[in-house]
Amino acid sequence: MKLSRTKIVIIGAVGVVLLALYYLFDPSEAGFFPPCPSHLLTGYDCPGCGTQRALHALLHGDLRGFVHYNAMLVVGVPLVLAIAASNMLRRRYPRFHSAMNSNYVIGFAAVLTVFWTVYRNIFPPFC
Amino acid sequence: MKYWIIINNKQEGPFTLEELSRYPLTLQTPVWHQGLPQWVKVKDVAEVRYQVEHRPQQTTTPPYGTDPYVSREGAAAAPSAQRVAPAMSQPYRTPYQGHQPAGARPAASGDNVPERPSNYLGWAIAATLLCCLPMGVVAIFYASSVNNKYRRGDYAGARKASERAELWIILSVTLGLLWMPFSMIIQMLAQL
Repeated sequence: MKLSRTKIVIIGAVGVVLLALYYLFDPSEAGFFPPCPSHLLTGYDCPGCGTQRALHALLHGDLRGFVHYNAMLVVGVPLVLAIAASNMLRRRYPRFHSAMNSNYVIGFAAVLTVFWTVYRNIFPPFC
Repeated sequence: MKYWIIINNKQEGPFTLEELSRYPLTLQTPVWHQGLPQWVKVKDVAEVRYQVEHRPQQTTTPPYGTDPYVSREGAAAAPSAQRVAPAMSQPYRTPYQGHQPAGARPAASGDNVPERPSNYLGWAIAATLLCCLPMGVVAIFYASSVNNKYRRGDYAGARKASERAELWIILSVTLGLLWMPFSMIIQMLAQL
């Protein structure tokens, strides 16, 4: 997925609009945000459930709410940002790139995702 | 990793990537290495294809007199690889060593290894966290498959796993993007 300049601009614009929407409206009250289809179908929380509400909380500086709605984001977002950075800086920092794309990180992500899915469906949010 | 080729209707091998460079391979030459279910063409094996496409010209015309098997006329009349001695008795013979002085050899095999294809790990985690359905998780598992196959030297397999990971991410994102307006319309209709 090589991104051209136009695509980056379009994705950036869409991102800004979405951020504004998530800032202005609370997904747990406003009726027009899409509910998680996995939750709708199965009744169980998927690893991504609550991300919209968490984003709303974060945009309002509510860190407690951020963790409450989807705690995996606390680890997941920095992880994704670090991997994205390592991919962009592959030429300059090849060792950082191979470290972030190693099987340790992949295994960590896989275990974290599975663990989080099981955990959050057994125990209620811990904060 | 070792490669086998079929050249002039004859199976030859095993060769390292560097040894392969001394044969007049084309993109259509059948090639096989461990892990492949069947013979494929050179164009389908990334690292061999890379080598064929970036081959220095001098490899096909080795200097005379450096190889005892090749006479002056023979080398002039035919490409070197056609002069294969009967190999049944010595199947693991390294072919044509000494054809070229060391300086004329193509770059070491390390330079011919293609870059590892993207494993889309970041995209996979992002898809898992942002979207629905456990498709991002499938992509995470394909990400490790890319790494493992690449490390084993199965570059074609790594490329395939990379494409699979990309496919799952695209599926996940597409479904998410379709779901958004769809659910919005339903909710708006429900409020009427």
